[in-house]
Amino acid sequence: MTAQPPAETTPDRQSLFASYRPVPGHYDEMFSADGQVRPHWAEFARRFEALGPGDIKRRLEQAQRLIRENGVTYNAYGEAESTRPWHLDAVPLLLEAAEWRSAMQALKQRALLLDHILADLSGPQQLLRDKILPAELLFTHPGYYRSYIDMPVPGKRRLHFYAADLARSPDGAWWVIGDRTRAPSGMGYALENRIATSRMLPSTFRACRVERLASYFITLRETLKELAPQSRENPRIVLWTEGPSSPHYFEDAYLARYLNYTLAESGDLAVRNNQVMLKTLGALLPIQVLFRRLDDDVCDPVELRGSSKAGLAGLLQVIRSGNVVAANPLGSRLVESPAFMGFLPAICEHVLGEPLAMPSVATWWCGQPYALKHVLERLDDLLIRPAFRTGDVPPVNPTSLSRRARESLVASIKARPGDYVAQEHIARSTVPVWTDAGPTPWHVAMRAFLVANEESYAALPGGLVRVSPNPEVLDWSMTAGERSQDCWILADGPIDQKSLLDPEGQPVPLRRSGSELPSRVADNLFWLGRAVERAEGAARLLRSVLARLTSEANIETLHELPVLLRCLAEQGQIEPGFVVEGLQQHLPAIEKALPAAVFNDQESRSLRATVNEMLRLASIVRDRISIDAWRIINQISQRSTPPRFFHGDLEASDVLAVLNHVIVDLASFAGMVAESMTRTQGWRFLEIGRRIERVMHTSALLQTTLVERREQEGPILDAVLEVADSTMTYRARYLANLQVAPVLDLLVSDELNPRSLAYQLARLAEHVDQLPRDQSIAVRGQEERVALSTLNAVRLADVQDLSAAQSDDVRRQLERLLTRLSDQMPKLSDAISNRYLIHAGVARQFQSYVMEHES
Amino acid sequence: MRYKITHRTTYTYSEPVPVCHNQVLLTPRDDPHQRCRWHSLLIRPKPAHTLRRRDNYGNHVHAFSIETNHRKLEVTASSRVQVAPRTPPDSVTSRPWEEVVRSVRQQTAADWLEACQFVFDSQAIQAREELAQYAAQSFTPARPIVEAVIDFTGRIKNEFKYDTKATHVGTTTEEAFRLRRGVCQDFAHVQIACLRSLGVPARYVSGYLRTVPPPGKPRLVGADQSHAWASVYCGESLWLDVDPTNAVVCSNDHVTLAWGRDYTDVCPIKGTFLGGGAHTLHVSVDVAPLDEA
Repeated sequence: MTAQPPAETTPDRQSLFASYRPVPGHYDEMFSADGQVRPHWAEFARRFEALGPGDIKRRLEQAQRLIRENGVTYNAYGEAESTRPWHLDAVPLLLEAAEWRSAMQALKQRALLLDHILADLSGPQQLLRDKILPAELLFTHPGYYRSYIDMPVPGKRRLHFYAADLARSPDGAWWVIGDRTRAPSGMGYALENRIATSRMLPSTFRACRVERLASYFITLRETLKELAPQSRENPRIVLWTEGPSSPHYFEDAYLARYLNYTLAESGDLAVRNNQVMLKTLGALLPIQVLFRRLDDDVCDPVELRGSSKAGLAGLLQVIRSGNVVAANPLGSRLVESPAFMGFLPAICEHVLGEPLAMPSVATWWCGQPYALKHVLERLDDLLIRPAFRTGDVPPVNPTSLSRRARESLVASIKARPGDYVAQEHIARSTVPVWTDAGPTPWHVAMRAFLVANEESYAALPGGLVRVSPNPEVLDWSMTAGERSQDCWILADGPIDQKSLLDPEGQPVPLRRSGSELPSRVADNLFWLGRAVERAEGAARLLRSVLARLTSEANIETLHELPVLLRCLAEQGQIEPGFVVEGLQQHLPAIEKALPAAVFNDQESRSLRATVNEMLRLASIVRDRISIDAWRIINQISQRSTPPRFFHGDLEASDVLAVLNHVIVDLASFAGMVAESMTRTQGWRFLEIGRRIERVMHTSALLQTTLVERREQEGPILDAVLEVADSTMTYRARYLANLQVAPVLDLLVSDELNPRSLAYQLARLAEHVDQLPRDQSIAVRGQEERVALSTLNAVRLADVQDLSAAQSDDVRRQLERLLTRLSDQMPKLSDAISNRYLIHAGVARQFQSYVMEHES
Repeated sequence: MRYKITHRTTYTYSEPVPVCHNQVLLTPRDDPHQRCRWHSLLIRPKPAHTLRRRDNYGNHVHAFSIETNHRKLEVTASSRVQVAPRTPPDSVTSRPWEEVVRSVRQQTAADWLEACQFVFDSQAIQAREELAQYAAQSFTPARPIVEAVIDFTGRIKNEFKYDTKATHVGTTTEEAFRLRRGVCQDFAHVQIACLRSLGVPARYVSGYLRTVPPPGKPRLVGADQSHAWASVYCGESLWLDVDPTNAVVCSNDHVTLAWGRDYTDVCPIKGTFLGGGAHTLHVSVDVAPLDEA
């Protein structure tokens, strides 16, 4: 607390909240029933009001921009809008430390209880024997696999991560609406909310003395580390994500980066030698702990859901052998089923000998006859949910149903009562939300997070707050609700300033590489390099063609145009029919077709399709490229669309403008890679991809344009230099004297020209030499042999021989060299893929067989 | 009766398979009337890892992985098993079937928790009112349970047609019931589904059946097959094995391999593999009696 709060100078400081009217019949987080600001909100209210509406709006927009950029950084396919289900609100939810502590104390008890139930159900099943829990509840649970039984879990707990969905009733008490015991999502969003909100309101945040979140994540890291088998000093832990197609991917990537764990998809992992391995470029590295974000029953297709392609075949056996630990352990999902909620008070008394500290919202499992009767009698007061939650299925409110739908619901419940639970509604509390109309009371849903520690559980001092003007929406799922708020727990003691981001005073061990590079990432970087280069090649060639088509010169006199068109056809950019005979008569058709062909994403070789591929590849490796590089790629993607507001046919000149932008953007991307990407193996694979593609592109260009000797080759040579971006160099050396030999020298043999074939091949040989390999093997690998032999072939070629044409006007030597390069580059690509990139195909199931017998 | 059983499963692939992970249930379990005297499980190529365990039902499970390129996987399970004749319980003096159902439902039977595992729906078997009605023709009020089960077993044999073409391994129990056709797996599933629909616990047994060659013909080696039947809870500690495919109460012609809630719990071989292209499967089973019949 430094300067005087500026609020003191504002005379009407209550004005911002003057029009705020809490909703009758609900608890308001900020205002007490008599309309007074609750004391713990006073400091916040004063400072917030001092900012004034204009400043708040500006700050909120800034915070939302930060969140959008995070989204762009982490989310698949650049859809920033879909990274977060909700917008951030300007107002945080404030809670007193004492109140929060007692609520979390209650949740610790609940976590211990669920941990106990989980351990019991996966082993002795005493709760069933003692008839505390109906056997049917477990045995009919679709998530209960016998394979979970007696699965070893090191340490005291079977439940490492637990989250509770809470609501506050009108009397101010917190209720548990739902339990989450699988891989609770939301902590990443809570963290993001905190980072954005504390930047949005820095002085208010400091003045309010808010508990820091970092201590929780430090505990989380400790807990995972302790789980490692054989208590290794430095266990390898990965965050096991479903991958970019999962709605949780943003959070997974965000958390992995924050916690400094390798983000691994199932394809990055394999079971070998009874261990779980991370497939990296250099080797298979054993994993000790899987921070699991996948559903329990997709984790191992051998023993669990057999049809699943998502998991890791043989995982359960490795866990059984004690060679890897999954957290949460497999099977943890069982106890989050709403069906358990009604039994918790009795189990708590039975097991812990004490009452359940925080009540669950009243829940009836219809599998019990008396509960079924009760539920059917007062159906309209209740919400109906699936008893064994297998996903975020919204509850059904019987009052909102048509008569017919209601009857069919009742029939379903009666037919399979065990599949349903009924819950009471809670009149959720409200909190001010910053809308255009000023602060407005919206309803609150809170998710609290706990992680197992030495003694019992540690709670996140905060939570994920979702708010909505319509309280029913909040019951639907974790992603429901219009906005999200940061949750501030106001400290009543010293604040723990620990941070995971910069351990102060502690020297950080120096490292020269990041976390291990999974083969999949290297593979994607390799193809990204190829796609970027292919896009550039295509754009340059197209530009040269379009520039000529739109020039004022007589088309008939442009001798290079038919040749360039043939290059385009050979690249698959236009129909080969256009390049046969009689350019003049085809010209109108070409002028019409070409612009459309550029933007046609259905043609796999079109510029648009190549850019799409580039975007796709970049999006799956975007945690490996810089934010600026990713921005450039997004920009290229946005630019390579037809000009906006354009109706009717595209003009060649419009396309030309687009191409000019795209070429400049591609050059900036190349510059980013050259100047900002550390020279790790990841960078190397991007470069290898680019060099291979450039050799192929340049060889194809020379093959089509120069192998056949034509009359008046000057314009063709000029165009070739232009496409190959070497015009300036040539002019500097030879002025306007265009001849074949110097052109070939520049584009084939000159190792100083970064566009020449020799340059690409020399870099390729260097890169290949630097790839990780088994040093004990003396024989050169296939990729080394190809790289060296092609480089030597180009180095040994004599430019005079290459330029000399035989009597049939064919430059045989040139043709032979270029054909060799075109043949060898795919082989080099395959050799590298086989050696470094392909560790896995798609796992398949054995075909089962029918047993037959009749005597 | 003593048997020597050889059960060989061969997968051949058109392309090499670099890795596979498998789990097999091919080792006969012991029970009061059956002892496995000797057993060997031979896997070619040699697995990198083999782990043996008991599953939740007490069956022997072997898990193994192969991590070298192979075009053929051969699993040969050889067992010598001694099976004592079972004396069928007296059908007339057994308890009324409703009483047995009640003792499980009200958790009064000493082994209710064990029995309970086999009374609810499982992956391949769902209880339905229609199935209960079908079974009810045998399960008339207060009928002794053993009598009812034997009667019902005979009805399935009579009212269903044995047809190897009608169903496949993925055919649902519901479909087999509708068709009134199938093989031993379908018959066992249908019987179990009907019993569970009445509240009677029943489990699925995978195993072998000794084949008796036609009179005057020699026994054909390797022509036998895996078999499946049902085991029905008839009161405390009394599980009655019945074979709906052959309408018999199992005695010493049936050799038990494993049991579970349905086929998916006791699938003899399951697993995943990489690559491999097209694959073909060949199974040969030989059940050779070592005593003179």
